[in-house]
Amino acid sequence: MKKLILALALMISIGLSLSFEFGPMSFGPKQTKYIQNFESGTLGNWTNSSLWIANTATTPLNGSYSMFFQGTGTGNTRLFAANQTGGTSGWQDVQIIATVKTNGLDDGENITLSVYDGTTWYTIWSQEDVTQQTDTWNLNSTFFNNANFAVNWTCVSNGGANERCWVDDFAIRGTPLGGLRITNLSISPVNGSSVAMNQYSLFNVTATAQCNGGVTGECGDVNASLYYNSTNLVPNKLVNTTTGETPFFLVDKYIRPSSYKTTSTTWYNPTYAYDGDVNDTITYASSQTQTSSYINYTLSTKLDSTRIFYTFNHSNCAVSGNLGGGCGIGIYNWSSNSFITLYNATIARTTIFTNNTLVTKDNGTISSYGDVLIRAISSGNSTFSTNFFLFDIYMSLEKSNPQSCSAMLQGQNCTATWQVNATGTPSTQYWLNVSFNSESSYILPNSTGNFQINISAAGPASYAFTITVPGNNVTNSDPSFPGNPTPNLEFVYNGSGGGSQFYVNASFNYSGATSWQNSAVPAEKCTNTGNVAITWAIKMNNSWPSNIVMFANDTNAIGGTTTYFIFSSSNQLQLSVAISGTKSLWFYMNFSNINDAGGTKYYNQLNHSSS
Amino acid sequence: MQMKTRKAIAVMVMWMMAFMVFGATLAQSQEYAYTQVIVTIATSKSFSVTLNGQTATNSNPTFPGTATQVIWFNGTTGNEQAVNATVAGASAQVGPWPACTTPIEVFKNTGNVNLRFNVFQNNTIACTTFMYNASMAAGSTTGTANATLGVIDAAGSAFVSGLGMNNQTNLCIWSNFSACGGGSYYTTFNYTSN
Repeated sequence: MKKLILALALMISIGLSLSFEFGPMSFGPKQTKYIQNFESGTLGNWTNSSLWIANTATTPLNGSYSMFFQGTGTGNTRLFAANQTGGTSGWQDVQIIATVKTNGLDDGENITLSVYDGTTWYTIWSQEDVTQQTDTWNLNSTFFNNANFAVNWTCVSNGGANERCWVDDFAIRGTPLGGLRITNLSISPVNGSSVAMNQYSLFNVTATAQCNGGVTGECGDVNASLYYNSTNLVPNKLVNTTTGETPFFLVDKYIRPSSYKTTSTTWYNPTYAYDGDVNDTITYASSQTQTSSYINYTLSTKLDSTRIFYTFNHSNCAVSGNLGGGCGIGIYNWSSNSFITLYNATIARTTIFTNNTLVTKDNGTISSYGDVLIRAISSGNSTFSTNFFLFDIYMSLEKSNPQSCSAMLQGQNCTATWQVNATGTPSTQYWLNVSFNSESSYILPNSTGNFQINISAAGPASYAFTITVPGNNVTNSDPSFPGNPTPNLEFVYNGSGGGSQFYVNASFNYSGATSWQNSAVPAEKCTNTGNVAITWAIKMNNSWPSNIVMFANDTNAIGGTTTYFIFSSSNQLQLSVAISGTKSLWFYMNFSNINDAGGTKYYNQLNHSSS
Repeated sequence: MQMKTRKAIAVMVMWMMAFMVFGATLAQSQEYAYTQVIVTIATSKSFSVTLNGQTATNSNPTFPGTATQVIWFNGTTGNEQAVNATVAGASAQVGPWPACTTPIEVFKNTGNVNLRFNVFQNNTIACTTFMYNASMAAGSTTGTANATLGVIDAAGSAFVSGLGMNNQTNLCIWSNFSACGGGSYYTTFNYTSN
């Protein structure tokens, strides 16, 4: 009978629930993880002060026993994780259901429910006068899948007449993981992909996720957020502190001053020395007097629906003149001969910053398809006494981040796409990561994990390389397997029958001569002649006999004892080679217990590939 | 029929275009080269010589090679025949003549091809003649030892041919004295493999 009452109470509890977190109530049928009705006459696995007992004498709430407080002071009774089989590990959408009641408590006295996340106890409900009622407390995701989850009831009483607290039919319910959640995440381009370093060379980052779990329900409103490795690509300074939005790529090195103008009407080509670094410098003659000087940064690519984040800095901009002034920057639409009106702010025609001030601005949407000039301007009649610096013009395409997947139902997929600019320093990498987060605290977030993006040089990716062998013989790679042959690599065993010989040196026999590796000349040197960083992979076609071991190291320790890599048909040596970089290998062979007749030869093939 | 032909051509062109595009994509993804590796087990004609009761002496590719211990032929009258060889410092005679049971030297093929061994005398001694015979050592089956009595002279003599790898040949040596005066006489036996 009591079980029936409890079941009915649980069924109606949803309607009576006091939500700790707002949000949808349920995403799939909940199950009871833990239940205690105290009908054993003990508090079971609750750890309690002596003030809490299992009592049948004072009108239990349901059945014959309730967990009952009668005394003076503050009494706790706790259900620790270890006593409920590992907290909420393996559970989500966790809720607590209990029948509670108080009697005669004074002001400031109450019954309190707290939950523990492994670090902190959180009070989720506290009340003085409680008429017997069955309540439900829905917990947020902090308490999902939490191995340290614990529950505590506290009753505070000064021991006055009939001051009591009851808790009965306590239950922890939830959805086992395997219920609805964000699953099947993927992202493209795939991990380790290379993207060409072209100015405004855009590529799509696409991530998908599914609301999955085999039960009916919804994963709530899901957002997809693109992240980059904060130590890469975009400095933290570009994070928009107002909106919290994070730009995730930059074009700093490739926005260059295209011309400048002094007091004359003539536009001059920049005289700076462009060194590929972030600093673009225009040098004015000392004490040169100018009026409204300009430096034009031409963004020739059409920038529809684009936001520009720029960081402006200058140094040594010592100015003087009629207006005093300083150095500034503005965004100018050259085709309309006007400065761009910004949707959320108006940037002054000339924005003056003090020396060495670093400023980041979100200039909003630029709708113009015409060339856009970023114009650096001196104010009034000023004299630039030394150099005028501009650097770090960053640019971010507008594509909302996060993107909304809307409400995802069980089985539905969400695909989010961002356009990312590939511009960066060739041979460097950054990492992208897409995180799917439900606005519902019942659905655990999930992320794709980091995917590495390699910045390659402009143009189609080329994985070309050369192999140089002793005698300075160079072989070019070829796109078709197995490629071009290098001269033959030879090892000669010249020990006695049944004998052994170790660290036999590699030689190359071609053009009627034999060239040996030595301390200064590696057996094979791979030079990356392509425009992307490559992985140089070396693998034998076949394994050697067991008593012949070919190995390589990447030092010139000929005859040394350091074994770097042993070749076989299954072992593949992989080395990273930067653009225009080289990697060298010295090859050796160990012969053991050689019983082959003199003149015996073994043949094998060392395959080189790049990727 | 004409329409079908057009469709077929269109499909073929699409396939060709797709192949060309796809092929171009593939071509940019990897490059290759390869190295032929040749391992040669060089011919070795090495051998070892072990004098009775001594440790082995390994051959050397450069003449005259490595010296073994010294062999003595001790006579008393200067006219003895078939004097057994003795390793320096050892008291026991090695032999005996002519059915040699304890060879003064054992040759082992430590190379990796079958070998023929020659022995010759570097500088002859007028009052002595050195004789030998050879036999295959126990357990050695590859090779033909010269079991008949031969003479070690300056011209040289093959005492075993076709000796297989790790096979051994026994060599017994005697000296005939003829009117030798008192004193010591010195010569050198040289061994070659080919």
